[in-house]
This record gives sequence, C-alpha cells and structure tokens, in this order.
Amino acid sequence: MRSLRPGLRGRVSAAFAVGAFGVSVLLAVTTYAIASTYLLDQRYETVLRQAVFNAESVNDAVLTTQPALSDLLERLDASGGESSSPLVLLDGTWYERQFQPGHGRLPTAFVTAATHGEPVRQRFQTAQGLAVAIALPLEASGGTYVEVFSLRELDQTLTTLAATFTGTATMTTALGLLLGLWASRRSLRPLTSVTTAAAAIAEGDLGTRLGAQRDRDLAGLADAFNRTAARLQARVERDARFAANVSHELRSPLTTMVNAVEVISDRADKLDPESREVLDLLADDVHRFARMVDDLLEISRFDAGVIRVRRQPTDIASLVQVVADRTAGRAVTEVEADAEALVCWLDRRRLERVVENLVRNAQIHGGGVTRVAVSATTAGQDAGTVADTRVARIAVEDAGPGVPQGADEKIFERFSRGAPHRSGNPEGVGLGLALVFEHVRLHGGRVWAEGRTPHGARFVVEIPTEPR
Amino acid sequence: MLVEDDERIRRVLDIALRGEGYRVMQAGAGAPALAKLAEVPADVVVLDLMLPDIDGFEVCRRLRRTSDVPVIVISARGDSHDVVAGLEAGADDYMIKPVVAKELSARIRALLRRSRGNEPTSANTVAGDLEVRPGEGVVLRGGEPVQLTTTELRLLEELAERVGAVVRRETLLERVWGYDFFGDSRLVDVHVSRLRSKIEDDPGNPRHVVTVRGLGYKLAP
Repeated sequence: MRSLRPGLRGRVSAAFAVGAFGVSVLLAVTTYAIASTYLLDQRYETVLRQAVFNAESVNDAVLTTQPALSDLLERLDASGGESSSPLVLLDGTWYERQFQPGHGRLPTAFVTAATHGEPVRQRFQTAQGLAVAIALPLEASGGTYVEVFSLRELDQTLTTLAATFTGTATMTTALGLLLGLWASRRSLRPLTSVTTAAAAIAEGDLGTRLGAQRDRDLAGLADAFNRTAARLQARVERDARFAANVSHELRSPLTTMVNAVEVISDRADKLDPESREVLDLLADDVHRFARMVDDLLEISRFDAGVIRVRRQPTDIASLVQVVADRTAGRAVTEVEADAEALVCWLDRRRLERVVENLVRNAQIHGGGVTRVAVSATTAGQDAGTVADTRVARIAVEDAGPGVPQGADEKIFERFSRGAPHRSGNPEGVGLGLALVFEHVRLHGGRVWAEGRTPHGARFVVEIPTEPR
Repeated sequence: MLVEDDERIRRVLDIALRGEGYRVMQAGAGAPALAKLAEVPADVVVLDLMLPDIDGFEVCRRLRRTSDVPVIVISARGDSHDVVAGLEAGADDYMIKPVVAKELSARIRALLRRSRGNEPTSANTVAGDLEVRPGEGVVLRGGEPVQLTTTELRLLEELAERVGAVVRRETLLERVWGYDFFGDSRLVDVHVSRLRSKIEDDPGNPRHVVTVRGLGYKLAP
C-alpha cells in the first residue's frame, strides 16, 4: 500500500538537498557579507582620502588667493575612481560645479549634520544609484566641504556577487538532491533485490535467495533473509512431503486390502447373507479409503509444487461421457451438437478426475446426478475469461438442496464439506471439489456452482480448447 | 511372472490372478526374477519399477536382451518420467499404483491376445525395403529379418494393413493395446520411436513410419 509519506529514497534525497542548501546558503551569505564589507571599506577609504585632499585645497585657496570658488571646484581632481561632485557651503551659500548641481539632492539630515562643523559620512540613494556623501569642515573659513561619490559601480559589483552566490546556492542544492537520489538508489539497491526476492517468495517461489553481499551492513540482512526463506521452504516441503509420504505408505496396505476384498467378492456366493452384507460394507469403505488416500496424495502434489500437466488432443465429449456414465453407473451425459468431436488439448487423467469428482459430489450431496451436459461456447460473452476463446463447458446437475447462499466460493476450499444428502452415503474428506478447482485452474479454465430452479445445483466447468 | 517387493501385495495378487485362471511365478527382487525367467520362460512379466536390488528399468533392459516376452511395468505415478523411462527400457504397457487385480488381468489378456497372434492373417505388405508378413510374424528389411518385440510387430502390422493411410493414435491404442477408450498416447509414441530405431536408416529422419502431426502415424508405401 502506498501512503502519502515519502519513501526512504525520497527522504534521503530530501535530506541531501536540505543539507546542500543549508551549507551553500551559509557559505554564500558569509562570503557576501565579508566581501561587501571589505569592498565598501576600501571604497570609503579611497573617497575619504580624496575628500580630505580636496578639502585642504579648497581651504588653502580660500585663505590665500580667494579665487572664485566655483572656478576652483571646476579644477579640482574629482575623478575619485568614479564620478564625484564637490560642493562647498560657505556662509549659507552653496558653491558647486556648473554641470553637476547637487546640493538639492542631499538628504536634509546630512546637511544639518554637516553645518554643525563635524565630519559626516552618509550613504544614500539617488536617481543615478547608490552614493556616499562626505562632509568636512573648512577650518579657515568656517564653511563646509562636501563631496558626493557615486557607489554605482560598487553596487553593481555587489549585485552581481549576490546573484552569483544565489545561483551557486541553487545549483549546489540541486546537485545535493541529485547526489541524494544517486546515493540512495545505490545504497538502497540491495533493498530492491530484497523486495524482489520477498515478492518472489510470496508468489510461491520458495527457492529464492539473495546473493552474497559485499556490504557488511547488508550481509546481515541478506543472511537473515536467506535463513528465513530456507526455513520456510524446508517447512513447507516437509509438510508436503509428510502428506505425500503418508499417503504413499498407505497405498501399499491399501493395494493388499482392495485386492483382498476383490478376491473375497468373487467368492461371495460361498458366503452366508450376513457375511456378504459385512463384505459389502467393507468393500465400500475400502474403496472410499483408497479414494481419500488418492485425493490426499494428489493435493499434496499441488502443495509440493511438483505438477506436470500432460496435454494431448482429446475428444472431450467422449471422455466426459465415458467417465460420467461409469461413475454414475448409468447413462447421464448429454452431448450438444456443437460439442460433438470437439478436440481439446488437455491432461486426460486430470479431466477424468474432474468429471469423476463432480459426479461423485452430486451423488453424495446432491441426491444423485440428474444430467451431465457437454457443450461448446465462446468465452468472453460473460466477464472473467479471455475474449474469443473457444471453451468446452461441462455442466453437472443434481436434484439436491442446491448450494447455500454465500457458500458457492467456499465449497471449492479444502476440507469444506456439505451435509450428506442421505445418511449412510459414503462421504469424502472434502478434497474432491478442491481438486476439481486445482485441476481446472491448471488448464486455464474456471469452475463455479450455481443454483437451479426450482431446486438442485449445477456445477459448471469451462476449459479452453487450446492452452493459453 | 510377478515381480513385486511387497510380499503381502504379491501374495494377494497371486491369489487373485490364479482366480482369474493364470499360473503365477513370483519374485521379490530383480536378480531372482531374472534368474527364474532364464530357467522358466513366462508368457507375461508384471514388473514393479521400485525394487530393492536392481531397479525395474534395468531388469527390463536385461530381459529385452534375450527375450521378447511382454512386460507390464508398475509405476508409482502416472505423470512421472517413470512411465516413459519404463517404456523406453522395453516395457510394452504400464499400470499406475495401486494395482487392482481385475485391471491387471485385463491388461495381461490384451497382451497375450497379441503375442499368441490370434489376429486374422492378412496379406504381406511391401513398403520400400520393408516387407511385413503378418501370417508368419516376420518383418524383412532388405531381405534380412528384423528382430521386433511382439508389440512392435503388432504396431507395424496395424500400420501395414492400411499402408499409406493415417492411423490415429486412438485406433492404435485400441487395436494394439486393447484400450477401449482413452489410453495413454505415450504408449504409441514410445513404441513408434523404438520401432523406428530398428527399421529406419536414420530414426531422427524416418522414411517408413511417418508422424502425421496432431493425428497419428502412417507407413509410407
């Protein structure tokens, strides 16, 4: 049964993926944090050095020649690795480059802090991207030097770095998942073979064993599995052999008994009436006993799995007629026209047993067989069998109480016995119909029981004319 | 001759068969059976395949070296290889345990009927280099007599009677083995292959006794 809970493989793979994700994210975040801090510090240092240098130039110029501040600002080295714009705030007036007006874009908090005569640094967002502004007091004039540096390139570098790390983390996670799938499949491969072997055993192939395992962890499992299977097999075989041996051993004394009874029966006219009656009882029971032993031996062969089906082309109607009439002791068989000379590939001995057992069943439990009908039909008209298969159908009808509701499946089980119709009728051990079921199944056919109106039962056997 | 290791079964079958009018010799193992048969020839040998000393197959093979006596083997199981192996070892017919005297008696009668040659004599038949003379119970191959067992001879005679025509396995079972219905077609198949090994140049590629698939056999004219 499948549950919603993921399987062992799924869980192992997921664990691998989560592990890979965690490690890669941790690595990426740490690396990013260190790298960005380092790059930012480097940049701040550079821009600060430039700003201090430029601020000194402006300070000197204000003290000595006092040229127009605007001209001075135009001449300042304001490359700073990247574009920067120098500004000077003097006595409440902003001086700035002609084509780089900028004081209006400075954050007000920064401007306020700058006018207090303290050096200030602040990062802020502009329309052109991230920027950093540095304010330095001009001691000579009491003004403030401000330089705004673009951080766009650095920002782009960091964005690229972040994207790279995200990509790497994603890929690592995916690789982790794949690795998990591969590793789990590899490490669970022995488990797959265990599953296959267990399924084979459940199917009845008790000889299945696991091969030698190189892995120490799995060797124990394989060993335990093989030992369990071996013991199961030994036990099943012992049971089957026991039944077979017992029945086999019983056959020797039975042969003596059957023949002895026969010899005495041939001389029955020399016996007095009472002895003759006792002899009849003895003969009946000896034959019944012989049949039971035969049935037991037969069923134990099914259990031991030593079944050999010997199919040969057979005129099924003639076979049924001969066997059914012989078993019933009178003519009971009706062959329909379409079944005349119908040739089936079947194991004659097994079909003989099927017919015998069904007729005998009708006599014991059905108050006597009323009719055995043989006909030909095409399976597939009713559900269950393969379509368009020619099948021979044998119906054995009786006049008994019919099949009890709900018992129609159970009567084909072993040792399930219906009530004898009349007391005193010899009864079987309840293997007759079970054997019918097994024999018919071997031929790829089916058997079922149905009630007849107004009373009685009909046992129907369908056997494909050609083996599948 | 009744060869059976279980003494009680042997004794009861002895009584039963004597009741049917046969004279019965007994042996409980293979070696004494062969020794006895060398002294007193039997008309039919009933042979259990499971014997304490030499197994039944070997007894059958040794018997065949010197004798054409009809042999019925008793096998524990009908669907086992025992039956085919027994027939290949030279047995004429088989029975499945438990053996019931009446059935055994019927099989013996069928074999004896054959071996005594009560059949109406029909004309001699020539097929290729083969000549079948039912009246004399002789088969000549290229003018030389061929040593056949009773069953092989009867089989060939049946085919010769309708030379060129297909004879169904069922017909052969009925006419050669005396089965009223549903005999075992392995009887026919094994005996045909034994017959071929004696009368064909290449038994794997027979020219005289030809298989007609699904039906039976025919003797090619």
